[in-house]
Amino acid sequence: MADPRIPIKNQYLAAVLAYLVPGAGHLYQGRMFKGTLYLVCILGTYLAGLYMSQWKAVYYRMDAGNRNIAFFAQAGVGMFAIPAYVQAKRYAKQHEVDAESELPLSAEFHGVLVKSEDEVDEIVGRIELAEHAGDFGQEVRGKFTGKSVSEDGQTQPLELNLAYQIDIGLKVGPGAGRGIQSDVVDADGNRDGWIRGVIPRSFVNHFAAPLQSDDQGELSGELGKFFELAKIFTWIAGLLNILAVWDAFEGPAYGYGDEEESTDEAKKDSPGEAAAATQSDEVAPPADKAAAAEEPVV
Amino acid sequence: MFPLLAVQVNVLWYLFPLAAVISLVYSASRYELTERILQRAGRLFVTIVVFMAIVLVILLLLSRWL
Repeated sequence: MADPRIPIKNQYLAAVLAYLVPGAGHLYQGRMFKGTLYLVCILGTYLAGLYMSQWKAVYYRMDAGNRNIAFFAQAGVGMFAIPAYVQAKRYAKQHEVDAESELPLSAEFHGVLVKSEDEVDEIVGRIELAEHAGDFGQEVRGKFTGKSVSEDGQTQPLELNLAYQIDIGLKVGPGAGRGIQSDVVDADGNRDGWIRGVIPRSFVNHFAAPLQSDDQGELSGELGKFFELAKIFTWIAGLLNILAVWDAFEGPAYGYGDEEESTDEAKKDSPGEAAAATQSDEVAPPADKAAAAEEPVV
Repeated sequence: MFPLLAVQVNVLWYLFPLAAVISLVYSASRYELTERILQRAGRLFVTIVVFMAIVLVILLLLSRWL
């Protein structure tokens, strides 16, 4: 039972708000100091962890062999745990959907043009893909319009026809870049090299998306121990929010804070009382002296 | 993407904000009175840092001698 001086209001609503956004439950209750403290400390730690991990530390993945058990610690902050769960469901579902269903596609592209092993140019521009009727039914074709950047920094306009083997990365996945690869064909339709690069993936499609083994290895290689540290930040923040949720629901665990502390605590905390106790020990006479004092004086 | 300054900082320095956050949130979940929360949090922060420092010294000595 919470102290009557604490405005719990609707404790269920406060707990839900506190779970979704750290501190929100307390702000709803009018406990401004604690609400702000939880918001800054817990949300700050969580966001710091996310930022350090390039927004990839929190994801839900429970398939055999790749379980992210740490998610249950991170899930203490609902505003990130719920999207991670939703993204995992979207990620799993998209395997059943053919990438061609997204066509026609038009997006910014940057990557490389590979003519041969020795001839690789950086290219930047726009890629457009669409389905067309071919000799053997519907086929995907498109074009790249942009510029190539040579090793010495010189640029020149470039237009490429894309056909045959076109692979597009998953729509929902980790990272702001979505991989794409396509064959390049000349005017006669003969294969003339290939391009490989990335097109943008929207925030909605990459935030809290489940990391795959390759992504984890890549991140660990890039960030090293900071990736682990980032995950620890999010775990701790998630676990701390459980305390905040309970505080919003039931009030502080030990009381308002102006009560007398328990006897053991009081001895530890108030040196005055401890000193008084010591003094009283010193004042008390030893047992033999006390007995002697009780003997009648002749 | 990851700030260069952050990578250059030793991981150990991240302990201080983390310990401060843990101390503040834990103490806030125990009491309502602001002064009491801050007083308790300060004490807990010092305890955590001292404890970690002792562990660090022990590990340093072990790594030097073993």
